[in-house]
Amino acid sequence: MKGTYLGEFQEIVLLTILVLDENAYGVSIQEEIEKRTGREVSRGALHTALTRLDEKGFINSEFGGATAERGGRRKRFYQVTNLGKSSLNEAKAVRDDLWNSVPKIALQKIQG
Amino acid sequence: MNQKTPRFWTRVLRFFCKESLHEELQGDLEEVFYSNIETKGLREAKSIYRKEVIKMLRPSVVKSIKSNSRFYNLSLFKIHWVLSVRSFRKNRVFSLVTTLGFAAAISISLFLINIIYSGYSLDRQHNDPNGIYRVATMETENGEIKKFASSPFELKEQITDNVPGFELLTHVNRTLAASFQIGGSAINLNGVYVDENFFKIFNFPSIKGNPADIFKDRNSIIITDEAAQKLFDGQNPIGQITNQGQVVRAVVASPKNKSHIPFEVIGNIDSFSPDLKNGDYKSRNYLYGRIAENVAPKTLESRLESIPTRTNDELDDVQREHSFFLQSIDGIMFKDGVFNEIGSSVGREGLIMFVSLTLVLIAMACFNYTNLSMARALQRTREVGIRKVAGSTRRQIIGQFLIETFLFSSVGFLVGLSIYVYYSNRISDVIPFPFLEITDFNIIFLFIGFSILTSLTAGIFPALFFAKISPLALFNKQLSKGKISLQGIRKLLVGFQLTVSMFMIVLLSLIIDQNQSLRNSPMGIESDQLLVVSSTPETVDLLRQGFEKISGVSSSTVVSSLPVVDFPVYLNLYKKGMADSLATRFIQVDADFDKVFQPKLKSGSFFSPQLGQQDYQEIVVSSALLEKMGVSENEALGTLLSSSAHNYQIIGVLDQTISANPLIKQDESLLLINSSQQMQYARLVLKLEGNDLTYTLNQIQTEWEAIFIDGSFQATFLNSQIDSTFENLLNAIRIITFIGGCIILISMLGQLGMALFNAQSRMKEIGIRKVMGAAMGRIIGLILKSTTITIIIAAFIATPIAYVVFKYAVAADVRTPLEITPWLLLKGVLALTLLVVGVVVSQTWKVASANPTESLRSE
Repeated sequence: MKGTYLGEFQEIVLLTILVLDENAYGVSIQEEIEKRTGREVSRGALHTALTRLDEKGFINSEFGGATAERGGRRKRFYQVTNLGKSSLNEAKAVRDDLWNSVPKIALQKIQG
Repeated sequence: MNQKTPRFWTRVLRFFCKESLHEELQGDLEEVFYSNIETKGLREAKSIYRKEVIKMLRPSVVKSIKSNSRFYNLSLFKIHWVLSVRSFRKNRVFSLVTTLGFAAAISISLFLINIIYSGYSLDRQHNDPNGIYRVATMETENGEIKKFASSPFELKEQITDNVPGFELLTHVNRTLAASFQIGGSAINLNGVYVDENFFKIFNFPSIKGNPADIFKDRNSIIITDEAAQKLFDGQNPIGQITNQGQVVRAVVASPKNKSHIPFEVIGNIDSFSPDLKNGDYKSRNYLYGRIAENVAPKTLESRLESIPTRTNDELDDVQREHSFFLQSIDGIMFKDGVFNEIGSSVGREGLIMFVSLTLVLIAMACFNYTNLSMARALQRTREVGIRKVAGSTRRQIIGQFLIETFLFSSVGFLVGLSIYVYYSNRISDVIPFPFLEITDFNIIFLFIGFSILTSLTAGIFPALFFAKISPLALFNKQLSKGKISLQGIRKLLVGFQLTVSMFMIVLLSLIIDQNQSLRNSPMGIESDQLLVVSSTPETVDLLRQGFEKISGVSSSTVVSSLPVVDFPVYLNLYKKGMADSLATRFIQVDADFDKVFQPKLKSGSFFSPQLGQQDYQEIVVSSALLEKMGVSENEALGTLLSSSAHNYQIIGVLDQTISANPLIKQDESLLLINSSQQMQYARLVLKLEGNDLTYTLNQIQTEWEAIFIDGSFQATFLNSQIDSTFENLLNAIRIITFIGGCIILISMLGQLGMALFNAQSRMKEIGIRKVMGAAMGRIIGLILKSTTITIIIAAFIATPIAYVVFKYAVAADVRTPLEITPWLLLKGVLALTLLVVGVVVSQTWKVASANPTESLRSE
C-alpha cells in the first residue's frame, strides 16, 4: 500500500510543485499552498510530505545556486517525476469515477 | 540592528537537524524569516521562526542518536579513565582543592539528606500509620492565630462523648520523670504518661514483659531497651524500682529513629500527677487517635468544631478562641510549625532551609570544580586541539571530561562518605533529629544517585567548553574566542561563592549577637534558686503551709504563668475616656510575688496580703504600659483601669518589665494582678536559701508526698527551664554555624586554588615586573586587585539580603530584636575579607618572593 498511496496533502504538494514549475522549492511551495488552500502549513509538515514523496519516487530534487537572502545557502528545487505524474492521474481518475457515480439527487442540499 | 534569526532557536535546529537537511531547511526558514520581518515586523517574524523550529521536531528531520554512540565504546572509556587518573595525579593542588570541596559539600549534604529521609520514615511501623492523627489546638487571640501541638486534658473525654469517627484515642502526656538510684547517683529518665489505647494505636514491640500490665495498677512503668541497657547493663530490668516507688513491668523497643514521640519510660496516666489535669492546652498534654476506616479526616475535623471551647472564668475578657484540628503523623516533623511540639521538629521552613542549604553547598562545590577546571583550560587547549585534529568528535571530548569530573567527584564522594560515616554515630546523639544508620539500603542508593547527579552538574559546563575549543587554537596559542567569555563566567562564579559566604558570615554574626542580647536582656526578676513545684489549684495553699515550715525555703508564691518561660497571655484593658481597649500582657500573682521574684519598683509599693472581695484589684504595671495608656508616671499611682470583668487600681510601677518567653514576640507592657481568687493555672514557685540544697529538696519532696500520697514528685529549677527555652535556638545556631562554616571553607578552597593558579600563570609577568624594580607590595596588590573588587561587590549584594533575612525571618518573633548597627554588619564583612585576603596573599607570596631569574630563565 505504502508504495503507491497518495495522501490528500501529498497530492496538494505534488500539484503545487507542478503549478510552480521551475521555481518549486521549500518556501515557494509553502506560500503557494497557503495562498491557494488558505491553510497554514509549517515547514516541518511540508518537509515530511516531501520526504515521503521522495521515498515513493514521485519527486526528485537538485540544489540551485547560493542566494544572499538565505545566508548564502542553496535552495533545493523539486520536480515531479513521471511516476508522480501518473500517480496524480490515477488519483484523479479514481475521483472522477467516484464523482460520476454519485446520483445527482444525493448532492442536492437538503432544504429546511 | 538585531535583524538576525533568533540565535538560540537557530542553534536548537542545528543541534537536532540531520546534517544533510540542515542547509535546505535552515535556508528556507531564514528566507521566510526575513520576508516576515518586512511584512509582519520583527517580533512576529521571530515568533513564527520559533514555532517553525519547534515543529521541525519530527522523525524525518531529527538526527538519530544511534549512529553516534557507536563511537563511544568500552576501549575509549578505558582510555578516558586512564587519562583522567593521570590528570588527577598530575595536578595535585587542583585535585586536592576540588576533592576536598566535593568531600565537604557531600558529607554535609549526606547528613541533611539523612535527616530529611529519616524524618519521613518515622512512625511507619504502626498498624495503619496513615490513619493515625494528632488532635491539635488552634488559638485565635486578637486576630492572631497560634497553633499548638498540645491539647487540653479533657479533650479526649469530650471527643469520646460528642464526636464519632475515632476508632481509638489515647492520651500522651510528656511530663513523666522517673529516677533510678544507680551506684549512689540518681539517673533521670523522661517519658510519657499514656492510657491503654496507646499500645493499640502505636506499635512499639515489647522486648520483655507485657506492656499492657502497667494499666492494672498505678505504680507500674515500662522502660525502653535503650534505657534498660543504660541503667541495668546485663541485669534483669523487670522488677526494678524507681526512687518514686514505681516498678518496671516491661521493656519495649526505643522510639529513637522510629517515632516522633520521644520517651525513655512510659507510665499509666491514671497514676496521679496533679499537673496533668489542671494544665490547659499549653502544657505538655497530647491526644492521638486512629480514625475509623470510612471516615475522612476533613469531615472529622469539621465535627470537632462542635466541641465547646473552654473559657477561663477569671479571664473571660480575653478574646481568645480555641478550635481543634487534625495533624497526620505522616511526615509530622516537616509540617507547619506548631508551638509545644512533643519532640523535635524541623517544620516546613526548616525543611526548605535544609533543602536549599544542601543545594547551595553542592552548587558551591560544583562551582569550585567548574572554575578551576576552566582556569586550567589554557594548559589543556593543546591536549584538546591535538585530539580534535586526530579525529575526536565533540561527543567524545565531552565524554572524556565528564569521566574526569566523575572521577573527581567520586573521590570527593568517598572522602565525604568516610567523614560522614566517621561522624554519623557521634552526631546522631548530638542533633535533636532522627538519624538513621548508614546500613539502610535506601539511603545508600539515595547517596550514590546524589553523587552522580553532582558530578554531572559540575562537569557538563567545562566539558562543553572544552569541546568547543577549535583545533586552530593549537596553532594560534590564543584561546579561541568563544561566544561566552571565559573570564566573565569565572568571575561570576567566584562572585557568587563570595556572596554566599558573605551572606552566611553576616547572618551568623547577627544571629550569635541576637542570642547574646536575648540572654543578656533583663528579665526583670531574680531567677536564682527558684524551684517550680507541681501542684493543683486545690492543694496549693496546703502545700505552701507545709513548705514554709522548711528552713531552706525562704518564701513561696503562686503565679498564673511563669516569667521568662511561659508564653505571654493577654487581656484587654480599658481606661476611662479611652475608646479602644488595649491588649496587655498580664500575670496573676499573689502578695508574696516580690519576695520570691524580687522585681524592682520605680514608685509605689507592692501588694498587700489582705484577701477577700474588693472593689478594685491591686495591680502593678510596667512603665511601657503607662506610656501606651497615656498616663504620666507621676500621676500613675491610684489610676483606675478596668477589663470587662474587673476593675483595677495601680499601686506600683515596675522599674523593669518582666519578660515572658523571650523567643515569642511581645511588648514591654505588663500588668501584675494581685489575685485574691483561686487561679486556674496555678504555678507554685519556691525561693530556696542556704547551702544544703539536697537536704532542702528532700524535705520538700517529703512534704509534697505527704499530701499527694501516691503521686510522683516533680520539681525543676526556673533557671534550668530558662536554659531549655534557649536550647532550641542554640541548636539552630550550632547547625547554621556548622553548615555556614562549611560553605565558607569550600569557597576559601576555591579562592586558594584560583589564587595559586593566578599567581602561577602570571609568573613571567611578575618576574619581569620585579626585574624592572617593582616592590613586593605592589605585586601582591596587583593580584589582590580583582579579588578586592569581587569582595566589595559581594558585600554590597550579600549584606542587605542578610539584613532582610535576619530582620524579617530570624528576629521577627523574638522579644527584643537586635538593633542592627552598621558595625554589626561590617564585622562579618571584615572577617571574611581578612580571610580571603589572607588566603590570596599566602598563595601569592611564594611566587612574588621567588627570584625572578628562576621564572625568566626557563623556556
